[in-house]
Amino acid sequence: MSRLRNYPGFLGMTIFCLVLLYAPLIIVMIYSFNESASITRWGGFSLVWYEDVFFGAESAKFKSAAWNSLVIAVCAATSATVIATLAALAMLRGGSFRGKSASFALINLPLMVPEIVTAVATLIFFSTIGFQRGLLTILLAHIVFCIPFAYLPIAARLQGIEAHFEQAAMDLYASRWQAFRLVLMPLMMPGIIAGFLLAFIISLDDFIITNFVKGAGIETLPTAIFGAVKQGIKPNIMAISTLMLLVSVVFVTASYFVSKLGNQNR
Amino acid sequence: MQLRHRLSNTDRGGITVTSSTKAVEIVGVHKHFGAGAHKAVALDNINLDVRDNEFFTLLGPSGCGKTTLLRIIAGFESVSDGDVLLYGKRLAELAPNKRPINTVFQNYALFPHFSVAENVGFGLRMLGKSKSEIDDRVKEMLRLTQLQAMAERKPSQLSGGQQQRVALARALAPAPKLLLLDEPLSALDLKLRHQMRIELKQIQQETGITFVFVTHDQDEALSMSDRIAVMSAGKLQQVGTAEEIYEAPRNRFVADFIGETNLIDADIVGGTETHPRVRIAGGIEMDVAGVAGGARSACISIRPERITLSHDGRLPCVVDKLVYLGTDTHYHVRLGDGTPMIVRRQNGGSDATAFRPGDTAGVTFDPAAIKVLAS
Ligand SMILES: Nc1ncnc2c1ncn2[C@@H]1O[C@H](COP(=O)(O)OP(=O)(O)OP(=O)(O)O)[C@@H](O)[C@H]1O
Ligand SMILES: [Mg+2]
Repeated sequence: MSRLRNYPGFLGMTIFCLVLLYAPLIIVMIYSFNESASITRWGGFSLVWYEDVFFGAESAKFKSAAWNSLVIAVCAATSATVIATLAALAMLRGGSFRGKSASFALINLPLMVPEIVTAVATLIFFSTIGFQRGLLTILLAHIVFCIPFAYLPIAARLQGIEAHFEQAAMDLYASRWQAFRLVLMPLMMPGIIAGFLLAFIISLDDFIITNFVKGAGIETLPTAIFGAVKQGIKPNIMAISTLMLLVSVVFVTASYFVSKLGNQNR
Repeated sequence: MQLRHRLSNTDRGGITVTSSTKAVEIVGVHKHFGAGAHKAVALDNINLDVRDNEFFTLLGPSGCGKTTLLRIIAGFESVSDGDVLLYGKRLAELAPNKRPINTVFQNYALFPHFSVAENVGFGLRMLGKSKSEIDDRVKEMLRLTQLQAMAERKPSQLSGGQQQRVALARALAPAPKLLLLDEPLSALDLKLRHQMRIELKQIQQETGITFVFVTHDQDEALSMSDRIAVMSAGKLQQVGTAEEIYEAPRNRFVADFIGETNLIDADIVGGTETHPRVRIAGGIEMDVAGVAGGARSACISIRPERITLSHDGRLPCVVDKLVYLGTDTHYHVRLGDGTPMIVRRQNGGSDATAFRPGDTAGVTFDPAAIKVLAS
């Protein structure tokens, strides 16, 4: 690592990449506190645009979109976490069974398929079977692509737990279910929580798939923001974006620390 | 004794202790892992009985199948062929959690998220015992293992020796019919290991529970066991008391593995089937006990401490080197025909004639010290 630092231009390259990645975010954050309605000229610090998000003309639209996003993210992350936990148990504790590698590929497929392909395919699927598009279609689509994100931290955690613990529990007269509930699940908990948080945030800020499968008039926060932006960028969009960024950062950080904490406690 | 009474009226998996003296019967057990070209035989036709109330030890080098046999008894591994019976009842039909058997795992496998008391009480909780009953029993077990002060700690806050005791207390608490211990002392330092040997033996006698103890350490096996089964490469080599195994090893492997010994090729020059006459190192001839089976030559075993080294010994030898071991010194000597031998002499003994490398001397041994081994 220290060698890498000695390459000429390495520092410059790093700074260039960081700027490219984060400068737009920082500009958005700064201008969300802009007094003026311009998105390019600084007119002094104020919180008017945050006030506008919560109480302005468009606040009702944003509130209902935010509520939809939250409900979908909670439900999708919960379902995905349950499914991912069961999948991890089957993959890592189920011995060898036929189609194991196929199952593994299937679980992780959403990570590899381009999102737009999934979006189009899901849309075609729902229209073919005549499924009314609405909140439920968004939820179903979200559950599917959240599974691998929940699966990865859960499986990583489970991999680190020796089979001895469950065997010790069963040796002490616990049934399979008791061994799972009383011993294995508490040990897996940091992984499960990290998986949930990751799935939650992935669902919360998904745009492409949501935009395809949502019903008319139903918006989540990302689609609502997109709709608003199409009519011209106002600083209130920046305020919302900053708030969402904050939520994302909090969740991802929490997810990181939960799994790290769990590893230390083992 | 009073502990044993309270333990004995438990009945799980429909197994009751009868007058039968056999706690465990292992009948023709085979176990192999994998199949085809990858097939590995872990256990090859194991037949043995463990008696009620016995401290029984499985002893053998790494990879000989001790853990596999233990896991079969506990129910975590199935047999490829054969049967395991606990007090006359076939275990094959019973799931691990239905067997009145508890295990002290090699790495203890204490539940890290439970306190010491919760760990110890886990088995009783799973058996649906009342809270007061669990509390009493946990207290009793913590007292037995001298862990009273640690009840509220988490396993990670304990030393290795304390964790070992928790694992023991946890396995003893449900009063199993049989306790399996997989190298429970191997993670402890020498001093603690010696202390725990005595404590384990004491606890076994106090509780009257049958112990099946696994180790690769012969000292551990010899010092604690009522009987020992010596295993090698998935096969049973010999079963017997410590004394039988040490004094009358049945074959070359057992003689070599248990304690230190001199294994010497000897010619059989006469005598009877059961009392052959052997010639050692082309020199002295002796009538010894042991089965020669009509062979012309055999391997004999003589323990280093049964040989005396003196200036007027019967078989002339040259001293090669000395290894000082505290209480004893090992003399590595070579006989007339080049056969190496180790002689053990106590330091500070009455005949403290010193020998140095290069000295010529002689070794003497009693015919009773010689065992003829089946090859
Ligand atoms: N699950 C398994 N799959 C394949 N082979 C196995 C498995 N478990 C054990 N074996 C093999 O069976 C043999 C016996 O293993 P076992 O663990 O019983 O040895 P052990 O006597 O307990 O050794 P140690 O003293 O090192 O613990 C070994 O050769 C091992 O490689
Ligand atoms: Mg082992």
